[in-house]
Amino acid sequence: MEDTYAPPGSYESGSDSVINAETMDIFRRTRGWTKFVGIFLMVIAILMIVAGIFVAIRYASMGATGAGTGVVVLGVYIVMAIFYIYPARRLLGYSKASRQFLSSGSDSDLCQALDQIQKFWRFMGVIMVVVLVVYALAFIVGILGAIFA
Amino acid sequence: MVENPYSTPSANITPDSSSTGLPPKALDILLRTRGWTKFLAILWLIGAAFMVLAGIGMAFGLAKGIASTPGIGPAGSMLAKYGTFYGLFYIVLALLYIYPAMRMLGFSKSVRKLATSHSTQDLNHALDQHRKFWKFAGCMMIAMFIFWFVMIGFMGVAGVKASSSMPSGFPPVTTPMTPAP
Repeated sequence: MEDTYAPPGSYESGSDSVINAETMDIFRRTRGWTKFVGIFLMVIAILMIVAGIFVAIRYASMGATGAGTGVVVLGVYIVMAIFYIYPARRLLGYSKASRQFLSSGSDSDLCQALDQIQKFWRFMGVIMVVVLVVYALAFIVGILGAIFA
Repeated sequence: MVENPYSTPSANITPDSSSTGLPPKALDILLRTRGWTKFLAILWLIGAAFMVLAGIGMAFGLAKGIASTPGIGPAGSMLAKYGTFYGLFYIVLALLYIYPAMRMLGFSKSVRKLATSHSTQDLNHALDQHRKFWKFAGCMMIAMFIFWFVMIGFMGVAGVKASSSMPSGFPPVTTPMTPAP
């Protein structure tokens, strides 16, 4: 049972970290969801690679030209899967580091967890920038095409 | 200058970044995360605004335009109904973008406040916004998963029904034993 007469203060779970008990609780409740989403993304990536292999085999059965196309298709599927694997790894890394932080309470584990999530968001941001640039280029090419057609 | 080894021991009691128990490195990481989350949240909000506009356009403008097209007949009213449905669907879909965007904006705002206040309250608020975002993402994935299963189930049932309702009066397929002259 919780001591109601305890002095107000910080929760000290480790040797060198002083983090509020509420902070630890938030980490505990976040890591379940990030782990779930990470596993989900990883499963999608694996399914994508499996689908790519099936499509490649199907193309390969059509002959020499089909085999070449199959390899290209497999490559595209693998690249698409990598776009899922990287963020999934970052989310799983965050969940793992959070778990370590919850048990050790050390600053290094906290920084590790936050670093994983920072890398996740940076990746998502870069992908978004790339998508926007591609859209902008497509828009410009479309306008130029309409003008010079 | 060399530190005086004979000075009295002292403690630094002025509040600094460690007043939250948060190491400066962690604060630096959070500040670097903040830029990306703010960027993505703004993009989501812009996307949601476009979706709402598209939804309104489809629900009212397009639907009315189709319904009032002369000579389109009863098909026009059906298309108009679909237009309204898709328009409303777009507006609901936009709400699914607004909620995570608001959580990410909340996270970014709290981290900015944390950088100046160094208060545990701001840290907890930032992390809680982050937690709410992931809870929402997880719930959406569960919903998507259920939707996939339901769709697969429907497709399976529809396939079985279609195959069972096929007319059975087709002539039997027979392979000729002897080649035709």
